[in-house]
Amino acid sequence: MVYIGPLEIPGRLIYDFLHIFILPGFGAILVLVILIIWAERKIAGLVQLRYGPLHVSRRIGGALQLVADLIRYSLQEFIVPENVDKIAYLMAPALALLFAVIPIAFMPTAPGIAPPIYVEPNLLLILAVISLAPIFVIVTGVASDNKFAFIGSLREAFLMISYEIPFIISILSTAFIYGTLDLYKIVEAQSKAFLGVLLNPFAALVAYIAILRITGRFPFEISEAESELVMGPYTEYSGLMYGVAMGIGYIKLYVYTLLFSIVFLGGWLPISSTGNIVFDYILGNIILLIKASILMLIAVFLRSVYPRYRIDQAVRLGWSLILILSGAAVAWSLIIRLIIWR
Amino acid sequence: MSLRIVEEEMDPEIKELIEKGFDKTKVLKVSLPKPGAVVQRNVDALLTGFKYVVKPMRLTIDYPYKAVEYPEGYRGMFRVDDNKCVGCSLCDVVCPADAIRLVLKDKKKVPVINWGRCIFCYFCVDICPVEAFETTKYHDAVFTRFEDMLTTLEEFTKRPEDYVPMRKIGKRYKVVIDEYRGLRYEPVG
Amino acid sequence: MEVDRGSSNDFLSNLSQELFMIRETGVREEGERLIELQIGPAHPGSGHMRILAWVDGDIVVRCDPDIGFVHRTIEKLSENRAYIKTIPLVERPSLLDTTPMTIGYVNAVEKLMGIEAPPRAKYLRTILAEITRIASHFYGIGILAIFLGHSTGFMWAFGDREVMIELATMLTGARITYAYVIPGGVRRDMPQNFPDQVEKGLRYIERRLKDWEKLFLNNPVVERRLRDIGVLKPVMARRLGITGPNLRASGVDYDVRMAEPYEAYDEIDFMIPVAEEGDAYARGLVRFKEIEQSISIIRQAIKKIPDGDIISPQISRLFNPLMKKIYAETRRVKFPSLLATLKPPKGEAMARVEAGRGEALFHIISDGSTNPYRFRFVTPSFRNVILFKYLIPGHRLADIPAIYGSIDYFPPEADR
Ligand code: SF4
Ligand code: SF4
Repeated sequence: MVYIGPLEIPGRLIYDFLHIFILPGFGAILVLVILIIWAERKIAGLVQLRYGPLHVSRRIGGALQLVADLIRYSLQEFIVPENVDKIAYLMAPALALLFAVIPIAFMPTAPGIAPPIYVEPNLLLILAVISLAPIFVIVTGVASDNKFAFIGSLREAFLMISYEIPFIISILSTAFIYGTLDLYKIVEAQSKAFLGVLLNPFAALVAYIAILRITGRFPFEISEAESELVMGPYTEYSGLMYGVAMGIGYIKLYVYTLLFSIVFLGGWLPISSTGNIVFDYILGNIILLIKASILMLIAVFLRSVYPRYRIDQAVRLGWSLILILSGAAVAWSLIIRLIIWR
Repeated sequence: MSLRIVEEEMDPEIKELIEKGFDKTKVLKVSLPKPGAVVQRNVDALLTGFKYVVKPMRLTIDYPYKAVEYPEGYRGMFRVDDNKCVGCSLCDVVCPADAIRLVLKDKKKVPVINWGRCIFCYFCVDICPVEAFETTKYHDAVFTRFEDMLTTLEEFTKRPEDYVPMRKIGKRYKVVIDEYRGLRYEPVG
Repeated sequence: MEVDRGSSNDFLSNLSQELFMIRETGVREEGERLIELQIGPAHPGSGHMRILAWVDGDIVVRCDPDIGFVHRTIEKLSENRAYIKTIPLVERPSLLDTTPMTIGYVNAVEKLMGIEAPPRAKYLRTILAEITRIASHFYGIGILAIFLGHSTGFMWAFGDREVMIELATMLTGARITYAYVIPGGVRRDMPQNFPDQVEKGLRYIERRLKDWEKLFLNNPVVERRLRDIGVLKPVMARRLGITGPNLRASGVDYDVRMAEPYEAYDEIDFMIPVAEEGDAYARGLVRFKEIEQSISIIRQAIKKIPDGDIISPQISRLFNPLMKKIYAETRRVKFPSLLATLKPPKGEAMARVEAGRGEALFHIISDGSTNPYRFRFVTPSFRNVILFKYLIPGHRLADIPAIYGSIDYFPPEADR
C-alpha cells in the first residue's frame, strides 16, 4: 500500500493543513452543515406540504438561509444572565464544539494518506474523544442556573450513558471482525471482503440508532424538547452562542456519520490508492463525504416522520433492545471471526 | 354547593334521558387498534413520509410573489358613496367594533372608518338601507402609521386601491379546491 | 348511561386530600426533592396560560393550571351592547370554532324573540358548523402533534384545515370570523358551485385521512407517547363535568347534537364516536372519527338541503324595496334597521350547542331593553381545564404536553 506516514513525503504538512481546514475539516464542515440544515428544512417543507426556506437566495432554492440565520445570530445581543457560572457558561459550548471536531484529526479519509495525527489504535482514540463531548453539554445546563436547562442536562446525562455504551460496543464489535483498531486497516479489510454493514448488520443498526440519539435527531431529540424544556441545556443562550449550540448537534452528526461510513460503509471504497496523491486525496474524500451525506440526509428526514420519545421510553429502549442488539452484534462478530473469516 | 343528585327533584324528562341514554345504534364504538407489528408500522410511516418527498404536494402559495384572489363576495375593504348615503347613521349604530364615525358634509352625516378597528363583519354594509357602501375584495393593506388607518371622508369615498398603501404583490391566483391536491392555484384571467 | 348517585362531593374532597398527601410526602419525607416549574405564560409549550408543575425527579406530583391571561370580559362587554353586536364577539374566543358559538348565541336570542330560522337557513348553519368542526379538530390534532414534537402532523393539520377554511370563505366571505348566523336566519345563500367544491374538499380530506393514519396515528412513537397516558375514567369524567370529545373518549355517550338536537341535526343521520379507554390516544382517535362523521353530515346536509328562504319572514317583511330586490337577486340578506336595535321581550333563554371542543352553553336574561341584562357564556375549554389538575399528577414531565394537546384545551376559549 501507499501509506504516507508522518514526514514521509515533503508535502506532508500541506496535507495536514488541507485535512484540517478544507477536506474533511472545517471547510467541509461549514459547507455541509449549511447544506444539511437547508436540506432538513427543505425535506420537512416537502413532506409538510409547503415550500421550506426560499426567500433568501431564491435562485438556488434558499440554500443560503442558514448564512442569513448566522448573520442574524451574530448581530443579536448576546445576553449573559446574572446568576450563571460565567466561565463554565461561556466555555462549555466552545469546548463541546471543540471535542466534537477533534476526532477528524485522527480519521484517515483518503487512500494512501495517513491522517494528521496518526496512531495505531486510532479508533479507540476517536471513541474516547467523542464520548467527552456530552459532558460539556451537561455543564452548560448546570451552569445556566435555569430549571429547564438543568432538567435538559440531566436528560442528556441519562441518554448519553444509555446510548454511548451500545454505540461503543457495536463499533468495537466490528473491530473484532477485522482484527484491528486502525481505521485505515479496517477500510483495507473491507476492500478485501464485504462492507462492514453486510458483515455485521446488527452493529450497523445499533450504531446508526445510537448516532441518532447522540446527535439529538428525531425521534430522540429529547434533551432539547421544545414543548417541554424550551431549548434544553441551551435555554439561557442567546445570540451567537445560541447559533453555536444549535450547530453542535449537526457537527456531531457529521463527525459520527464520517466514522460510521468508514467503519461500516468502507470509507473511500470503491477506489483504492492509485499513486497519484492529489487525485486520491480529492476523490477519496468526496466519496466519503457523499456516503456521510446520505446518512445525514436519512437522519434529518426522520424529523418529518417521528415525534420524540419520552425520556424513560428512550432510556428503556437503550438499555433493552439496543443493548441486546449490540450484544448480538458482538456475538455475530465472534462467530464470523472464529468460524467464517479465518 | 353540592354535586349530589337528588332523584326526586329531577325533571322527569331528564331522568328518562339519563335512564335511557341515547339510541345505541347512534353510538359508534371506536376501538383502539391493536398494536400491530412495529416494524411494519415504522416502514409504513417512513414510506408515507417519503412519498411526499418524491411527489410534493404544496398547499401554500409563494406570497408575495404570488397572491390569492379571493372568491366572489369576499369581505374586503370598502368605500362609501357619499351621494347615495342618506345619513341615517345606522352603520354607526350597528358597527360592533365602533369603527365607524359620522362626519358632517353639506349638513348631512356621512360615515368615515377607522381601519384599525374594523373587523370586516360587514354589518354596516348589510344594514345600509340605500346600499351606499361599495365593497371590494381588497385586503392586503400595509399601513405604516397608526394615523393612516383613520380615514377622512375624502379617502373613504375613494376605492381602497387608490389610497391604501400596499405591498407590491405579484400575480393573483384563484384558489381551486382539488380532490387530489387539496388546493390548486390557477392564474386569474 | 348510568349515574353514580351521591358521594360526588366526598369523592372530590378525597381526591384533593390524596393529591395533597402526595405533595406533602414529596416535601417532608424526601427533603428538597421537588422542583417547581412555571411552564408559561411565555413558554413554547404552554399557550396563553401558565402551568405550575411540581416535579419530583421526572414525575409530576402536582399540577395547577393558571388561567386568565387572555380574559376579554365578553360577558360584561355584551351587557353594554346591542344584541346583534355580540355575534362577532362570541366567535372571538374560540378560534376556528366560530360558527357553533354564534349558532348557540343566536339560538338563545331567537328563543327570546320567538322567531325561528327557515329550514334552508338551518341546513346552511349545520353545514358551516360541521366545516368549522373539522377545522377545529384539525387544529387540535395539529397542536397535539407539535407538542409531541411531530412537526409534520402540525403542518398537515394546518394545511388540511386550510381547505376547510377556503370552503367556508366561499360560503361566508371571511376566513375565520364569519358572523354568518343572524337572528332569523343566515346572511347569504350558498354560491352555485358550492356543493361541488364541498364534495371535492371532503374527498380530499378522506384521502388524506389514510395518510394521517399511517404517518401519525399508527406511528409507533406517537402511539407509545399517547397510549395509557392521562387515562380519564368515565366516572371521573362525569363527576368533573368534562365535555366534548374528551368525554366521549372516556366511554360516555353524550353529545348535544344528539341529546338536544338544534338546527338540522335531528333530520340527519349520524353517529357519535365513543371510545372506552379514555387515554390520550383515544382522545386523538375520537377526533379523527368525528371528522369522518362530520364529513358524512355535510354530505347529507348538502343533499337534503331544502329550497326556500334563508331568513325568517318576520325579518324579511321589514325589508324596504331595495333590500327585497337585493335579496331576490343575490340572495344576500340585508339587515332591516330593526336588527340593530333588537328588543326581545323580558325573559330568559338558554341554548346549548356542541362546539368542536365540547358543549357550550348560552344563557341570556333580557330586561326588555336593547342590551341583554346578563349573558352567561360557558365554553367547553373552561369545563375541561380542570383536567390538568387531575390527569397530569403521576405522569412524567414529558407527558404534560401530550396530555395538554390531547385534551385540546384552548386558553382564550376558557378565559373568554
Ligand atoms: S365591517 Fe363591521 S367592523 Fe367594519 S365598519 Fe362595518 S360594521 Fe364596523
Ligand atoms: S347606513 Fe348607509 S345611508 Fe345610513 S349613514 Fe351609513 S352609509 Fe349612510
